[in-house]
Amino acid sequence: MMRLSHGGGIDRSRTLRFRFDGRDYAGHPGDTLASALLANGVRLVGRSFKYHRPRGIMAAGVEETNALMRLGEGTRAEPNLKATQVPLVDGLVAASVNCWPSPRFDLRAAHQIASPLFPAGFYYKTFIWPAWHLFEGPIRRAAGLGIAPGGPDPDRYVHAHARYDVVVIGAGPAGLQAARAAAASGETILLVEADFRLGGSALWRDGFDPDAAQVALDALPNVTILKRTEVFGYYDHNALAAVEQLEGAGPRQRLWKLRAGRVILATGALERPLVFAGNDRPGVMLASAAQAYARRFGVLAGKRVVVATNNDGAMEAASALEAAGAQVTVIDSRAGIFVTAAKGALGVKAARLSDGRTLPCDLIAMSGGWSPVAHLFSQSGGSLRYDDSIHAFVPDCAVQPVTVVGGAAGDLGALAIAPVWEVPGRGKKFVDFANDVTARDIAIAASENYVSVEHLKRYTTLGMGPDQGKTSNVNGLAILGALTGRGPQAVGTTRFRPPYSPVSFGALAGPLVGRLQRPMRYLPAHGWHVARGARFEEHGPWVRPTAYPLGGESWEAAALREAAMARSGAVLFDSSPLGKIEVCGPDAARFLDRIYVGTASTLKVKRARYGLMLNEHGIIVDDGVFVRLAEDRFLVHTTSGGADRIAAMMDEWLQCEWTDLDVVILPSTTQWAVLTVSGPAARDLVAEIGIDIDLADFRHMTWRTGRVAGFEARVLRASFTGEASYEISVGARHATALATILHSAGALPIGIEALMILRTEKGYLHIGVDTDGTTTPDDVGMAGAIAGKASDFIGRRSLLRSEALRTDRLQLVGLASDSRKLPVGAHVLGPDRASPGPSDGHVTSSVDSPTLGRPVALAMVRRGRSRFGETVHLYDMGERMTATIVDPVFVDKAGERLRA
Amino acid sequence: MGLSPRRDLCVFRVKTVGRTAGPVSGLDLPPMGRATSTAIALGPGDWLLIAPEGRRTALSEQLAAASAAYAVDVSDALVFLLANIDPATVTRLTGLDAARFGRGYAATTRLAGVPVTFTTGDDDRLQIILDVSNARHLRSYLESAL
Repeated sequence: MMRLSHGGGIDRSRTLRFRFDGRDYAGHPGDTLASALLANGVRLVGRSFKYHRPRGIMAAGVEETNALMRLGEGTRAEPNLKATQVPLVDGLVAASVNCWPSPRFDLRAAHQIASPLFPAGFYYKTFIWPAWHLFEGPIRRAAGLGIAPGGPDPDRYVHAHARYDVVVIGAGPAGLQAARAAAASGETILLVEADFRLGGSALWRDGFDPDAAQVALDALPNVTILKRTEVFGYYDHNALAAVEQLEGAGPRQRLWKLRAGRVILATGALERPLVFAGNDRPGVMLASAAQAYARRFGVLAGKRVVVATNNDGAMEAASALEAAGAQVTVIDSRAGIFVTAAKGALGVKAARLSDGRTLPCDLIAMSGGWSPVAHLFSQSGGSLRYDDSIHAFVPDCAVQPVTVVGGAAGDLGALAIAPVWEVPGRGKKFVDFANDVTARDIAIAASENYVSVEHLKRYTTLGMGPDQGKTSNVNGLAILGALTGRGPQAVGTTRFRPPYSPVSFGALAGPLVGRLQRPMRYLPAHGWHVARGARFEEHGPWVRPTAYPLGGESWEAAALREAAMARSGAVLFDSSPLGKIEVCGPDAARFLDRIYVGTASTLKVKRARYGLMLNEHGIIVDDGVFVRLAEDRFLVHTTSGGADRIAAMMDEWLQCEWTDLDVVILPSTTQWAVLTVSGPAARDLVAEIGIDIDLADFRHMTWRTGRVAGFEARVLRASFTGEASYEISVGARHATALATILHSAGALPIGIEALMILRTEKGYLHIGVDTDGTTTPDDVGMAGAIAGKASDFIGRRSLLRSEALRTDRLQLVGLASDSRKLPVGAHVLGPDRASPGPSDGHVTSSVDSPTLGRPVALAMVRRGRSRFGETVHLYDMGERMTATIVDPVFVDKAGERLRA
Repeated sequence: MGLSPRRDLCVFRVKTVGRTAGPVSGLDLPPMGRATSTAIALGPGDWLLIAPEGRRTALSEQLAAASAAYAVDVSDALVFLLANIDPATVTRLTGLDAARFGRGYAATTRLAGVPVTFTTGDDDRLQIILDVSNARHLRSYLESAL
């Protein structure tokens, strides 16, 4: 191998330094990593996927299957990049993947000795006993690709959308001409090219001037060109996905989501390997690749070259190599002579021929014909047909507005091919280099009746991974056809699916990672809580205070202190995320009658009622308090996490099922900051800060409007603590001011954890915690209102199913334990107390009660309400414990405190 | 990129009953997808009415008198961000056709996982309208996404 003194598209006046497997090399601008390695005489670049066979560079573009590299170092490293697609830059650091300690001496090359033991599908038949998972780890470590870097990826990835009248994919001669022709109409054109240069095969073949074509396109204002951008997915409605490789200090990659009026596929064709023994040895290369290295990069990949071919296409490569100074021998199978084997261990030293001769050589340039790149066409839903004239599959019927031009359409010139799908002879003959699938593997699959091409793929992994069938598909299915007496058209191809080439997870995730991965919402008084020393946690989509620890206090201790204060003084809880939906219209009451288990139509104005919301299966999905603001207007409070979901559900029912109802849904959750003052001293505290509402005439579950501390406010008497509570709603902009006033008046801020303690003591339900996807109103002791309700409601019919009426359902109860706090999730053991054994329920909420001075818990227990007083045994994570089933209301069963 | 909230706005969300986007007496409401300096159409029978804070009482009275419509105050729930972003950037981020949120138009989509409405003010500055609780998230996203 050598760098030619002239020719090619590289800039010999500048030198770029790079490092590969710890050694320093030099190349030039215009080189790829692959061409630079070849120019430096590096022919062994890695080891194969399964057998760890030595591998060299086989191709010059996206079809490369051997030269997979790890680029970069540390957390920025990226494995499995194709050296043929990596532009050489100064300071580039690359390393081989899947070998240790080096490609030349790889300890796992021992796999080659044991290779007869693991042909295709071996893991389906072995390593079954006692469990596949015992072997999975070592097998996956032994075989495979590069290793992902540890630690978070420090790079940034962005997403972008774009629409064009025409998207041309591929900037070879056909794509460049198609783009120019389309641009003449004045339409907006996007030309996308994976390479860092436009031109495709014209960069190494005569007959077309890509630079002139680019100059012409650059002058057109309606044409946009994206280089280093690979379209990897073609979806419905002409949607395309592409990844652009970016340079500089900004984002590393951009994922494009493209919409095209029409698509022109000019993705060209890829040369196929010949399937002969040792065809994977370093120094065996596609003939077109050898030509590309000579003509585009000025690199002669071998001095003594055997060109093995079954078609006329390779003659152009033979001429180019000869012109570059190589000694070339052409072995054309159409003349009855084949290259049957490549000889040499770490590199080709000779080609063995079918007539018994052995030709010394350092490069075998092979050509098994050409396959149009129809992957994206197939992804678009288009069908393929086998073209006997070129012995390849070509696009047939399109189902989207897509046109295929050039090599991708099968326009390959005078190919004159006489296919030889598998060259006779012994030895490993590789069909899919990326996955180490040999012709014998296909024979094994066929003998085991995996004769569908889809089954063949899954059994052997043919066409999976980085290759995606680019070089292996046609050879593989033709060999299967020969084994099963079918032609390629009868065998067919697999349906190509995205991605055409590997895509990094970073590109797919884009900027929505880390703290942006999920939209988090902040309270209107967030800064005030921060200033009070709140510890925050995520509760649904909201960032909320968990507790307000004081001076080294643990959050658990803070929560207990805050809960105790709620039973003795006055506390302040920020309830702002509480869902608030105004349901308005002449039929609002009828609508809510159907939405809630409870009845809205009998509710008086300024009164509130608690309600459960069910789905069609009768399962509890939300709860809350609804208030009648006027005859035709209700304010519905949902759970904090359910506000958006319930509003959408209501609109869906109105728009899809109950179109006869005159109702509108007006969400207003974030309009109002809700600061709840709760506790025995709550009333006095509210009076102290100034309120124009008559507190003496303000009972539990009623509603008033007025001014509180000077702010226009809505006040609801409802409670989730079991204490007298005033839910004061003011415009969100006033949240901080009102919180400051309430705090100054003596209201201690409490967090979610204290609230959970208080509501558990009181036996109040927490939807999604005490309930799950099986819980009905009767399970939680709230079926009383159903029998007397005249109108229908969502889920009512399902409550009459035998499953809902079973007498042994889980029911909400309390569990009293004197010893320790019961773990949430602990199972109540069945009558035989066996573990593992049947479960009689589980603990759903559990707290240390500061009011009672002992732990209390809520649980769903089989026939729980009929078992009050019974001692049950529980099991959790290897531990056993006992508790007594009791009423779930531990504090103020009569409700005197909250009505105070 | 600059994002500055518009201050002292009074905003009401108005919906008509009957699920028809017909005329609402007493209110000048634009058709679907359109916007004026005082109203933005969000969907069928669904608008935002915008006025200076000083006109709150007058607007409330006007809404109270309007037939077949219900409204809630969302002045504190929404934030109107004036953005120094060119329309092409919005198109790139969202896929929206720039004409759909140009002057006289409004378009609602999801950006960074949250609902946002884009429109262009009389001064030709882009406005991003979103729930106030999502503003922090959107700002962080825009810093990372461009």
